[in-house]
Amino acid sequence: MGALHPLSLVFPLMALALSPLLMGVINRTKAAWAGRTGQPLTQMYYDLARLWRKGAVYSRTTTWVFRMGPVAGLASLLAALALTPFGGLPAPLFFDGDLLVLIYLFGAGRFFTILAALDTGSAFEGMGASREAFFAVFAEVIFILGLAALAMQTGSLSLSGMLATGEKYDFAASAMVAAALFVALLAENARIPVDDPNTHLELTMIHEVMVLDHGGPDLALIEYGRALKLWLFSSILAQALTPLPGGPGLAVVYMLTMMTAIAIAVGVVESTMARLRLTFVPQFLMGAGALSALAVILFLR
Amino acid sequence: MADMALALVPQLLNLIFMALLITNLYLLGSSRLGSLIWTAGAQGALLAALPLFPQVGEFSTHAVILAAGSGMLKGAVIPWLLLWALRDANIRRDVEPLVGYSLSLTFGVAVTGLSFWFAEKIAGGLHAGEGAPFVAVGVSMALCGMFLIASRTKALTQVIGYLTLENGIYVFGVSLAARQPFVVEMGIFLDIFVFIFVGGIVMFRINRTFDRIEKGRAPTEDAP
Amino acid sequence: MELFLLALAVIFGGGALALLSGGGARLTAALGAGGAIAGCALGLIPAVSSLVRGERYEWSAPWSAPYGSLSLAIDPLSAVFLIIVFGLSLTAAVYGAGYLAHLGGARRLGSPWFFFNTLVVSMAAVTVAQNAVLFLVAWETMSLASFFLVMFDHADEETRTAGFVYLAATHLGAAFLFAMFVILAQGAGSLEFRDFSAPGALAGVVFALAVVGFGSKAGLVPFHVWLPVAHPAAPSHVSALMSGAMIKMGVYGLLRTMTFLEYPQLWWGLALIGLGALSAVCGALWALGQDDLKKALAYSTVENAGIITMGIGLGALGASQDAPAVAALGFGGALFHAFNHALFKGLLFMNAGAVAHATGTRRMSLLGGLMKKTPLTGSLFIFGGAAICGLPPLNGFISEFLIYLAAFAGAVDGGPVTAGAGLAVIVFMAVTGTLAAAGVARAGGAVFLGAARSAAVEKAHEPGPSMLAAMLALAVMMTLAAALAPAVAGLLTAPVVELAASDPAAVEESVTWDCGYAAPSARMQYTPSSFAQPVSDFFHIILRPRAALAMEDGLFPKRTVFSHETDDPVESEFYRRLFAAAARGIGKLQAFRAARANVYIFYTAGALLALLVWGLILS
Repeated sequence: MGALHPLSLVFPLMALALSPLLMGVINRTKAAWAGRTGQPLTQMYYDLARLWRKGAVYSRTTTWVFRMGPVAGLASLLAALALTPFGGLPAPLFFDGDLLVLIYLFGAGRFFTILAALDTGSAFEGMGASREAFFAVFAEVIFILGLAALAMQTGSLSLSGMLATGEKYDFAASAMVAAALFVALLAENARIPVDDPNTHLELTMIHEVMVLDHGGPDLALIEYGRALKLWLFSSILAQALTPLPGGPGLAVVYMLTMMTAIAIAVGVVESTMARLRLTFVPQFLMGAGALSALAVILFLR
Repeated sequence: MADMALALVPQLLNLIFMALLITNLYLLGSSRLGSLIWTAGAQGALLAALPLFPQVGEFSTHAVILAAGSGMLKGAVIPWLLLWALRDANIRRDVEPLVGYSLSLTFGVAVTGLSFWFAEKIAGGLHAGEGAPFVAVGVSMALCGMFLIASRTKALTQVIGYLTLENGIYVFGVSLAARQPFVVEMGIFLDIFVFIFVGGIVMFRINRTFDRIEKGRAPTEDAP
Repeated sequence: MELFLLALAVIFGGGALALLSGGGARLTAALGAGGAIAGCALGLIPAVSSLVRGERYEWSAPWSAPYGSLSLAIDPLSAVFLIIVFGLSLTAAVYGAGYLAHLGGARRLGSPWFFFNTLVVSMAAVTVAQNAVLFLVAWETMSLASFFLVMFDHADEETRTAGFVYLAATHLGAAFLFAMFVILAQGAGSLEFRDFSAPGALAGVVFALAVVGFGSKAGLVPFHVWLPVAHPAAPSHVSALMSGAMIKMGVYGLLRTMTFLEYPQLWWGLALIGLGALSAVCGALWALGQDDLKKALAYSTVENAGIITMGIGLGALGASQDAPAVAALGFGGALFHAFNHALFKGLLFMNAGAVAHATGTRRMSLLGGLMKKTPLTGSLFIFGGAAICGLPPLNGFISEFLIYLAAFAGAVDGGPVTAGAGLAVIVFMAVTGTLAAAGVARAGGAVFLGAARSAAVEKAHEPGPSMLAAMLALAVMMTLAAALAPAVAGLLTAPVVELAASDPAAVEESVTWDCGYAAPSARMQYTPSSFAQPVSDFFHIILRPRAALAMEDGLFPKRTVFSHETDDPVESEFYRRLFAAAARGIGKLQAFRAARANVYIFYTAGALLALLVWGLILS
């Protein structure tokens, strides 16, 4: 590991503090699109505080696995945060192949969420768990191929190397990688058109139905984890999209702008598109996977 | 300023190649006939720009005429014709594949990878290396077109497959255009067959498959 | 080396004494298990020392078998596999002592212990044999000993079928090995391993024969069909040993053969990667389709054998393309994964045994909610399961990480072929990883979580102390294996501990909130097959799901029956057709069958005469 820039340690703290705002941006975009004023940008902080003060209700069917689910989910995201570079500086922790650790940390979080859902013995949560497990197959391939394309482009095997330095740059291929990563972002963060975070029909939910039985502080952990995951994905996407301007100060401002833009894009997609029928989701994700595969093929030469 | 514009040319060409490959995959993955036709049209319009690039040959009146002609034909006339057939022959708007969309997409990606490898192997003989992407994109389009013909049941989808196949030959031909000018014209000439196919579809009201032509009568819509 | 021989003698002696002691079950178990435990502990010493010091220990003696010699050697490659064999056998013997104890009255336990100890000895002999005849004798002993162990429940019809499928498969595989050694010996003029070398163009043939022969032992698709039938039939400590260690003998054999052939060719790497990817993806998918817990684990073994083979393939590719980083990471990852898989698959099979022991069934659709009855077993299953899906920071992740890294190194730095192969490995590893996670979540969820699906769960209890001790020992070894590898381990634990400490304001208990329905029952739970349904429908080419719903007409609902099964098309179509065709062909030979012995003597004499004439013509 090289010398650590002191700002590298500040960025994860920034993510911890600011990530709920990103959810606020999406909500405001959707409200504006629908002609409403919408919630304040900081609404999620109030929600989290309210949930944290509440008590929890646990089903008698459940065991320690259920109680561990939200904690394991958030813990894996915190570890992932330490691997993700930000603002043109390397992450606090980086080594060759750390992108695999990142991907498998997301996998670990997913695994324990699925187990927690199965622990309730509810038909609905089992259904959500089954779909989450299935769609993960595609989402993970898109994500890993997208990162492989970046690795081949920059010749670096670590996230910090491939994202924080944008020397070699090919617009067309980067655009394809970015498009694929955007789809991975939508799929992994349970957004339309893969999943609908606002739906009220349990039969069509994926992520939301898995956490039906969690309440109070557990739900707060899950909701916060969601905001953090969106932050992680959008910061990776923002760095993959274009090379960052020089200097940490300028780079941070640029990245925050890009991430806001990505959140707005998610809001726009959510306002203009319908949720796909479940049978079409694999097809949609395969399409995105084909995009990242194409990008990879172009770097093969 | 002019230098910067020149530096952008290879990027632009790459972008067109990429867009061609994406339309290719979209043709394999889409389930609606309408969007299939629009995509084929977009592919045709993209192709038309190729003769104008310096990688292909000198900028000449011949190139401009070629670009304009093929753009009109592939980007406007043929899609319009296909849409007309879609309406006129009362064809149901879904694709009815024999091979599922996901498997088709996987095939498309695999074939694209293969054709890049193939292009790498044979590009030495063509245009000293610059032709490699042309060969790769052309071959992958031709193979995907053949796959569309083989794996979709509807007559109209097969025409679109034929169109893609032929677009592939056009791309392949463009890279040879400087030395063998007729190859490209030949490609455009092949478009005539598209007119014949579409004419057949409309005249005989073939709203499903071609194999009924041999029976010598127009099939009725609800024949089993 | 003498220590090693002493270890073998102790293990075998224990088994033989157990067979001969007509006495009580307790004495038999003490002799058999005691011999295995003491011998394995002894045998670990030379193995570990060879690996740590990188030394080679040799021993040899003349042997009366033609072309045979008793030459043995422990080099670091053997040592890795010796550690797998002895380490896992030790825990399996501890577990087996408890597992077989409840049968004490009903069955004589002498022969199971004899064959168990023979299996351990023969596996150890396979890894150190330096002579082809000795190797093949050890190999056959290993196959036969495990065959008798599979036949433990020979009163059961299904077990007998499983046993014979296994016997046929293992001998077909061995036939390829015979051919391979004959070719190698012709080039070398001797059957000693040290004389073997690559005979030019024949190297490819030798490699292909090795892949089929050793691949059928390792359980690679399409040679895997014996595995999902034999593993569930055997007693659980034997399944653990077969799946954790015996499968690895195929991997060892393949690697050892590659040391005879000096330069790996490009297509070897590609072929191994292709076979590995096929096995990994198909194994993970088929595991998702099973209702029998041990069968699902057996298919997961196919998947892991595939991952190991992909690693070896990358290693061979790297060696042939002059990419040392890819080669080192690929071979290293494959070896480490072989070791890790022995640990967690051993643990999971023992766990499945504990479940079967506690409830009397292995059918996941009859289980559920076991975590409340057997919290230790359940927690260990989830621990082993998380490791087998390669979740950080457990040991399974670290070996998969090395294989991934080999693939990435190939993709980034290699030429087009290496890069393409590396990318293919990345894609297949990702697909396999997520499918395996789905499979483990499905099995763990169906067996241990939620509500009980049948009365079988009600009377369940934790297994005895020796079974638990064996499982805990494996879990501890897994933790050690992970802790020895860098970085990530500490990363996860700190925040978990901190967060888990924060208690919610007030805790209430209630029923599951089933969207307002207050009386959920276990019959409304998602079943294992409904969990797998999206996957089995999407991959219907590989899984062949079959659903049957018997609906009766009428105004009011009646009792309906729904069943859902998945097939293994390699078994149901490829081999059935192959063997049907073979039977038709062989049927024509029936004309030569006779009822009298002297006709056969005539045939034999005729054949000898013909051979003699042929030999004279040739000379």
